[in-house]
Amino acid sequence: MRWIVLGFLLSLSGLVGQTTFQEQADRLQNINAYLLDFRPAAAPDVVEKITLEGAFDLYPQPSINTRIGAKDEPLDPPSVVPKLRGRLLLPQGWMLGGTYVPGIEFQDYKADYISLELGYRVRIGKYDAGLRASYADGDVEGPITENGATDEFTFSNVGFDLSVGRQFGQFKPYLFVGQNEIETELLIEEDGALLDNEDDAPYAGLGVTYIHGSWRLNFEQNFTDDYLAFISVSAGYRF
Amino acid sequence: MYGTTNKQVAVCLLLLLTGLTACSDADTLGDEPPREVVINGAPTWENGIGELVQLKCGYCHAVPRPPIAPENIVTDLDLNTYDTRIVDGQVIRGADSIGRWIYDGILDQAVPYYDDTSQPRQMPLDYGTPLTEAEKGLLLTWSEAGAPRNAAGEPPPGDKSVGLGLYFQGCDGCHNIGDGLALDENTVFGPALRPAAVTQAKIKSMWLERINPSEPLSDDQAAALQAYILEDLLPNLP
Ligand code: HEC
Ligand code: HEC
Repeated sequence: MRWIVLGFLLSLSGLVGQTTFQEQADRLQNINAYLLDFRPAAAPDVVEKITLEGAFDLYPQPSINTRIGAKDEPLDPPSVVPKLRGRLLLPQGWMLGGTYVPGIEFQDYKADYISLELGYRVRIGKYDAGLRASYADGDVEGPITENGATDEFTFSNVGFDLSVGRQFGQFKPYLFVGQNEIETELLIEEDGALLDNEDDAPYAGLGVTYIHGSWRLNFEQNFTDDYLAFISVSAGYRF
Repeated sequence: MYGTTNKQVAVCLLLLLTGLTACSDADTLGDEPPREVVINGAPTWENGIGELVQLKCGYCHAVPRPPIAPENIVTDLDLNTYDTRIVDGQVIRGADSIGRWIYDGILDQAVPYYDDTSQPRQMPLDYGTPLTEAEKGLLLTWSEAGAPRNAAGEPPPGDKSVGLGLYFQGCDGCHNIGDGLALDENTVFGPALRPAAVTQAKIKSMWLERINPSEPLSDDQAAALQAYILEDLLPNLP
């Protein structure tokens, strides 16, 4: 329960008003990049034998206000982002994972997304702890701001986090804290303007993995800095 | 033993689930009001207008073109400095050149009249940080006062007869005899001159921009032109 309090505190700390378009544009890019970041999405654990896990993650997206200056950039992100994820867990505690979405085309958009993670897990008493580094990179090309335009949003995202979990029966709650670094670029063709941005932000979250035989169901609540909160829901299977 | 813990976990999970629906939120700053510059006393470039124009215009109107500015932006306007000047052999207009644009309403609508390569839209562009109503008022007051650098006032006027000679080296081609020259309302070559706007800074800027981009006017020549326009030309308009 303390974790929830922590989460709320993170999400509530106030923001100062009065802004410039650069701050708005940077924030908009941060949010779009952090939403596509690669977060733990499962409790850390230590396995006895080489294990392969496949999972399907769903990220419902919070509503995003796309106003920059006096203009609503008609950014129209999907309301749920699905990802296919794979993880290889080694008995020594190492974990290697990735997500890959090869050049999907939908409507007039083209998107590429790849992410990788490397982790190391140890058991400390009743707890499983994990250290993890992740990298995500992608671009979305298409009429982001105007019909017929070819805008481009590119981002790369590096993250490090530490997570701790403990199993109670079939449930394994966990929490994590981490730090993200991103680089983004938004090319708005209509205006011929290039908005670029670098940012780093702390993130934290908590989740619960429900274990049923080879199946894993997972809920995760994520907080990024003090301005972004989102959840993910996933279903996984261990081979 | 596991019984109690499982109950605790169930409570935790329930809380988490309720938390889940509540914790999907992105604060994009989109509704934050723009940062506002406040000026005490008469607005001049050195008293507040410089800060305001740099904050709200200077990140696009800089030389060389910053990447966040549109590709079609005019490349000879730098609103981070007051003086129009020659940089690497090219005339770069400063804020001393924009008084008339503001007077003609560029903060509220497109100002497409002038025989100009760009067809300026309303400024700042939509995706830029908007001006507040109070800031627009300050810019208008500044423009009506002739877009002054500071409160020191104009240097003394010069020799009218020298000014007359300079005026007919080309100013008349666009401003006629001070009352402006236009084919129709969309093809204005030069507007009627407002006395308050006939400052030595604007005269020097006009000279470099429109008459001779390589030889700036001296202070004496600018003072002479000013004296001629204010003392002979404008008072004797038919
Ligand atoms: C977001 C970028 C941007 C901002 C901010 C901006 N401008 Fe502009 N400005 C432009 C562009 C681009 C043009 C070229 C005309 C067009 O595309 O409409 C221009 C043209 C102009 C012109 C016409 C110059 C000429 O010789 O044709 C003036 C005057 C001007 N701007 C003044 C301002 C003032 C004053 C501000 C601040 C209140 C401002 N601009 C803020 C992008 C910007
Ligand atoms: C090629 C045409 C052209 C020539 C030549 C020209 N001007 Fe201008 N002038 C303009 C235009 C267009 C404006 C309004 C836009 C601006 O301020 O840049 C203007 C604005 C002005 C203003 C500001 C008027 C006001 O009411 O705000 C003054 C003063 C002025 N010119 C003086 C001169 C003088 C002095 C000369 C000769 C040294 C001169 N101009 C030459 C076209 C011209």
